[in-house]
Amino acid sequence: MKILESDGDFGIQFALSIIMKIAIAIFGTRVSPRFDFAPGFILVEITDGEIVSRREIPAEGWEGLERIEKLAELAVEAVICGAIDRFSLRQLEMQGIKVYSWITGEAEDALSSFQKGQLESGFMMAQGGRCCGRWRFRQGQGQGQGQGRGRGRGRRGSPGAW
Amino acid sequence: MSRGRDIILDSIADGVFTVDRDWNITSFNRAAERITGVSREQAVGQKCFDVFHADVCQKACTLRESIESGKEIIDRRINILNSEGQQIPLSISTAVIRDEKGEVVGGAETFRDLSDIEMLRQEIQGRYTFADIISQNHEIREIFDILPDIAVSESTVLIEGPSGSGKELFAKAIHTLNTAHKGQFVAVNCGALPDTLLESELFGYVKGAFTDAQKDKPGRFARAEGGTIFLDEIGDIPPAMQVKLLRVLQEKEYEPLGGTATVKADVRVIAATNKNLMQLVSRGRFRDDLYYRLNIVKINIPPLSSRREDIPLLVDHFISRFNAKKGKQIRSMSAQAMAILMQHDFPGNIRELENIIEHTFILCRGSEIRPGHLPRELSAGMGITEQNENIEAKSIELTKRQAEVAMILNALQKHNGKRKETAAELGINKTTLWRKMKKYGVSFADKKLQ
Repeated sequence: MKILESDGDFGIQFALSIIMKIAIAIFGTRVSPRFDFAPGFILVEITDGEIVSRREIPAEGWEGLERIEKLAELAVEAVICGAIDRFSLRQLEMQGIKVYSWITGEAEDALSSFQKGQLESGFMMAQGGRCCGRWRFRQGQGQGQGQGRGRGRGRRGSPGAW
Repeated sequence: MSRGRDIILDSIADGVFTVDRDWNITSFNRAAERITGVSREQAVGQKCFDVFHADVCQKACTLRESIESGKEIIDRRINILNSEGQQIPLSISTAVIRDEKGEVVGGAETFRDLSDIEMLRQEIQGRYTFADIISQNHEIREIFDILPDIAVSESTVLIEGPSGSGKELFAKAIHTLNTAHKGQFVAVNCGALPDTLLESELFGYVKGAFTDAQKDKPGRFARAEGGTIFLDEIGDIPPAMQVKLLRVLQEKEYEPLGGTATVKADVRVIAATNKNLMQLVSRGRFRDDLYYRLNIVKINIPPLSSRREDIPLLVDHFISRFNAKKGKQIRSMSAQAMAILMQHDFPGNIRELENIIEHTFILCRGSEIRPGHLPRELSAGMGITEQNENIEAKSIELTKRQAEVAMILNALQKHNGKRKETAAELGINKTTLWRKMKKYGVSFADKKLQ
């Protein structure tokens, strides 16, 4: 996260703006069901809840570690995707990148939910960034609660975090 | 979906789901719940790819292929990610669903969890490994059979095998299989140490033994006390050392350099050589009494070229090892690349194979090793060229080495193997030439010596 410094009315006061860069793994217009095979990402810069820039980048041929390295090079701070394998998740976390996984639906809806600060892993997206359901897993499946990452992790019935 | 059909589908052990033309799931049986970890209530109405998370979803959807071609596809291997982020190998089959007018209304997919089979496969593979040695070759398996007996016997072992064939691994296995050993496994490459250093390395020295000996230094035998000492390239040790070694084997004692007191040695000796020791004995280069002392139990390791059936096993082994070491996710080697390896002679044996795989790991950015990732001298000889292979991406080091070897050989030939003149022509000094020849394994009989 970068802190922008700008002169205020009195020249000495600083207004602090927060810029955040996120990457949404996409498959067509939807959030890609798999991080490792996503054919592209939407890179979005958000300042104070407003989108200041966005572009789409192809990710064909980014395999294994290369995919993580590329995202880290782009200074991405959060990734939104569908399912993600353990290896990639660990690598992203080691780079300090926060992962919102098991997001299902239109990428646009996931983005608006993120902008509002509402997005959580396991969200099924509906129009306008509403959450219309959450992934719940059968007994014995799903884990990863209480890992101290992000919101909503410790809740009962929250998804398997991946 | 009717209740009756639900009951039938649920009784099937394979996972089954159906989709409409927009890829929305319309039915999902119990086995599908078990394999994916997603309940039917959650799955129905979702896009199949959002539930399934298969590696093929975004590129080569099997169901789409079925629906577009109208044909059934049977037993395709894919993998999916379950809710814990684990990859699960599946075998899937897909078919089209038509309505009464014969129009396509959707597709059906059945899938079988191959995790157990995959695990069994690994277990079977495990039967071919023994203390880190991987082989299904009958000669090696015969060695596996006697190795535990050799291990407990405490007798001296001589291992003969070409360089790079894994002699040290066998020695280590013998050491670890003997649970009575409390000491360490210490390896010494006798060929790598100058004659003068070898004695002090093996037996240590006492303070004042020579100018720089400011305090006692225990040797490798002392470090291996209660354990095993592995003497590699035993054929290279000088005659004086052979006498001393014979004494250790016979009397179980030795004297450190410059010392007066004898030291008892409770050490198991395993010796190895890539030469034919018997031949060295007949030429008078190796003491016969030492040879017979060492040769109580002999193990002969065949070269890799005579155990080609092990190449695929070893390739898999090195792929998974380098994956772990280098953080890559290479899954396999293509059939063409494997074919090239199967026809190679491997003068450097398993070590060479290991180096080849390491080389491919530098060049391979995908998940499969292809012919173009192999060192060029391998793939070029086979006349196999593959499109989309990155031909430029080639190890400079390797080319340099080849060029150097070729130059040395040419010069040696020109001067009938005379080192002095060869070195002069190459503009390097004689010891550098000797070092390079040793490094690259270049041998050329010096006419003067014959």
